[in-house]
Amino acid sequence: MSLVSLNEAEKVYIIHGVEENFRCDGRSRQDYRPLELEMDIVSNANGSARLRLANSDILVCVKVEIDTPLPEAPKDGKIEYFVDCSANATPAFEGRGGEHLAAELSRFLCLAHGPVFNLSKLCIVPGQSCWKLFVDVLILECGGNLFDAVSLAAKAALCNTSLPNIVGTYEDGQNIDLQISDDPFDTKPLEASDLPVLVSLCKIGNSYVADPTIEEEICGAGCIVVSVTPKGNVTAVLKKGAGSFMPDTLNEIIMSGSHIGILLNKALNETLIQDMSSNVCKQQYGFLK
Amino acid sequence: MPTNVYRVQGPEGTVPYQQYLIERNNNKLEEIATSLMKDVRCDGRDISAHRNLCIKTGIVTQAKGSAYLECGSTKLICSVFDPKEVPNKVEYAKTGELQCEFKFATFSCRQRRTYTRDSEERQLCNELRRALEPAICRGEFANFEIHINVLVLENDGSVLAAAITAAGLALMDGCIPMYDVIVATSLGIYKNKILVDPTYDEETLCSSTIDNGENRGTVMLAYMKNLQQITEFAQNGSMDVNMFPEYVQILTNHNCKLYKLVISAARKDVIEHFENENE
Amino acid sequence: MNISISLASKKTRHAVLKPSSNPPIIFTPGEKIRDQTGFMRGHGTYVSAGSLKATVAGVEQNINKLVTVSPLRCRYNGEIGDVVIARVTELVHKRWKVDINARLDAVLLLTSIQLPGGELRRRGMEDEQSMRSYLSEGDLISAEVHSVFADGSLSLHMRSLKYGKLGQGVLVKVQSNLIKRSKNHFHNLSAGVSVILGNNGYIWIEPTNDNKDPVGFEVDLQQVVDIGDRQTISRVRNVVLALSYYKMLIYDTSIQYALEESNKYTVSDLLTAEACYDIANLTRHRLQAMGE
Repeated sequence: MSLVSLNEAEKVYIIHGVEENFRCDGRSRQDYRPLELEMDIVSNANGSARLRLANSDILVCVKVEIDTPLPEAPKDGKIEYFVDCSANATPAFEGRGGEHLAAELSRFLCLAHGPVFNLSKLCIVPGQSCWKLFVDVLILECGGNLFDAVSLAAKAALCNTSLPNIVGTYEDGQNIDLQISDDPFDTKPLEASDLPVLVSLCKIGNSYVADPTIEEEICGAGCIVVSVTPKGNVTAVLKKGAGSFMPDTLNEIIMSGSHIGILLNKALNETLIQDMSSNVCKQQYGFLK
Repeated sequence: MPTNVYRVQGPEGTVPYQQYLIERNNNKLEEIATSLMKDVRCDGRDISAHRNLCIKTGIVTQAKGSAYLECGSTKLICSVFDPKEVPNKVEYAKTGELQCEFKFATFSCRQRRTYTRDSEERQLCNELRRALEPAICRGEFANFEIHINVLVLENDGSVLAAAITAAGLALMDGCIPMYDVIVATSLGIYKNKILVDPTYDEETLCSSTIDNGENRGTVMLAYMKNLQQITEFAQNGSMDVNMFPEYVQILTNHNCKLYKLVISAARKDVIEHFENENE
Repeated sequence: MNISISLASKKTRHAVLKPSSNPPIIFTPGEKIRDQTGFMRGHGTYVSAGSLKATVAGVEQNINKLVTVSPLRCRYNGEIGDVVIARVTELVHKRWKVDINARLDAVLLLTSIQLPGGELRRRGMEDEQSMRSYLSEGDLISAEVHSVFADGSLSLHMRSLKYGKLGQGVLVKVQSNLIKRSKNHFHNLSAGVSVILGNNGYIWIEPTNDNKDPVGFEVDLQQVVDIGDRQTISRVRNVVLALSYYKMLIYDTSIQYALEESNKYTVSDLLTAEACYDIANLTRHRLQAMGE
């Protein structure tokens, strides 16, 4: 994935910087780079969000369709995550290059959201029909710390999603006819504010940093991704890279990951509220920078 | 395991009948849950007891190293093949690569699994690779790749932990240089109960969706005892952060016990090998 | 701990800063530049129906009768005598292949480096075998363009005390045509850091070190850059990125001015778009006031 290579001296410079709590771009160990969020930018989707984190650019769209529920869970809806590593992002994703990363990302998103997302909200008629959410994540540009950026964008898009209202159901023998409101504004929002976000903490030298850049990811001995709900609960943990950790370090990383995750969730929530309140005369920017 | 598109996979759109026995399954889970609250597990074990292990190395004669592991009803085979040069490799890699394959046999689970790899198998395969990478002296295999295959014959919970332990044994059996012996254990968390080495049913119970803020989920930890390093940590579910130190402590303690078992098995193998030679 | 998520709609969009003078005429591909009579076809042009047309979007440049169109953004085209920062990508027979942000990798011959200790002699087998101990993959060097091969690839040399292997510091990549060509590309800024502005768009920022062994291939990995220097290096890095974002020429004066303007911000604040715009704008005003 990385087109960046570093030599020993540059790595040493970065590692010393992390130890002094002053990183190459002037941030402290726990700082995030400025994030930029734009909501509702794809008109064909039921919910969408685009997030920029330095050079990483993520577009997430949520589409809603009607499906029949699984026999073992007749009262639950369905949700599926797809991650597409577009070859636009980096030449390394060309062909099948991005597949591995995409599979890992979508699987982990699914694992992280699973314990919290209540699928019974997506039920229409138990055992007969339910909503199915397709969460499509498109990586437009890749600039380090993909996991955090993707999870923030996915949460924002799900918060932005609204389901059309069902006006009535008519039973016709075995079949069920659903009458769906044709007014595009007659919708009910999907409650998604308690979903977790992912926090990557990269171990560099004897300490660890949040929001690692590509260069820092190369220097790092390993990376722990913690999925944190707004209340600070942990829903999934993943280790990236070939490093190993001391038990105490691991505990410390997970603790501070949860601490950062609470703040990250809070920041996202505030931004979403701000977006809702300014909904009246919002100007679309899309991809014009 | 190669996939064969010509093999008959049964008609499309069939559904295992067990899926319709929702009530029975739910009742069963509820039963387990209520007895757990009384600190009784369905198989009569103590809440903090590991299932009995059966370990045998060198069962695949064609492979360089192999191990068969039985942990309760969880049964799996792991085989390790000779390091080979990476084919079609352009760049020179300073450290060797691990190629892992994690496969559930089609009949290993309650639901029939397909021949093609699904996302769960891919994820387990990644986790297995990440757990083993730090333990192998990869610097000695510059530009080489080592193939590690795991085949699950019967899945009764804690497969990943069992697979990592078995892979560690198979690597040892295959004389691949390693920094330390690697073992893994998993925990199931249900409310305030911490279940060591959960069975399949207990895992299902632990990973059910939660409505209130109760702790639930599974934790898996792979550990190198002598170096005191955690090589892989995987968690899923919803848990209070402040509980993590306790989980990690319990898991490392169990891994230390497991470590003794594993090395005694390995030692016995070596002694047997020499005894056979002398005869 | 600093986390800020801003809304795109709330952000003030700053257009690229307007230049002071009239903008030059920009030709687009296929556009007629002039009749061919009496002119020679150069890079970025083609002849069609007796007239010269552009193949790239860019501005016209004339050297006597030669007409070329130089594109607005392009990879680095080397010229002899340019100072470049390069990263070693490969070791091949008697030479290093280095990445210099050009279309093709440049080469650095074993004969065009100065051996440690300044020895002058023919390079033998031993030298060839110990090439990796001088420079290995990933190492950064500063060098000068020695010659241009027929296919456009460059040959570099390091036969001067000012060139050599680079140690601890930060590499910043900008567009190559934002680097202003000047007599000197090695600058010791008053703030205590040295900057090498490679003509290829790679900029190296390191702490000023007066007693550095000039021809060594040894890099001191034990030395810890002190926090003061580190802050200045990061400040220079962020300021250079701000200038490059607003397409301003990068040279010693512009960096110096931008640094002075940036003093009201902390180093990490310089990552925000507002601060970048402010600094670029103020720097431009100061440069214009100075008549540069």
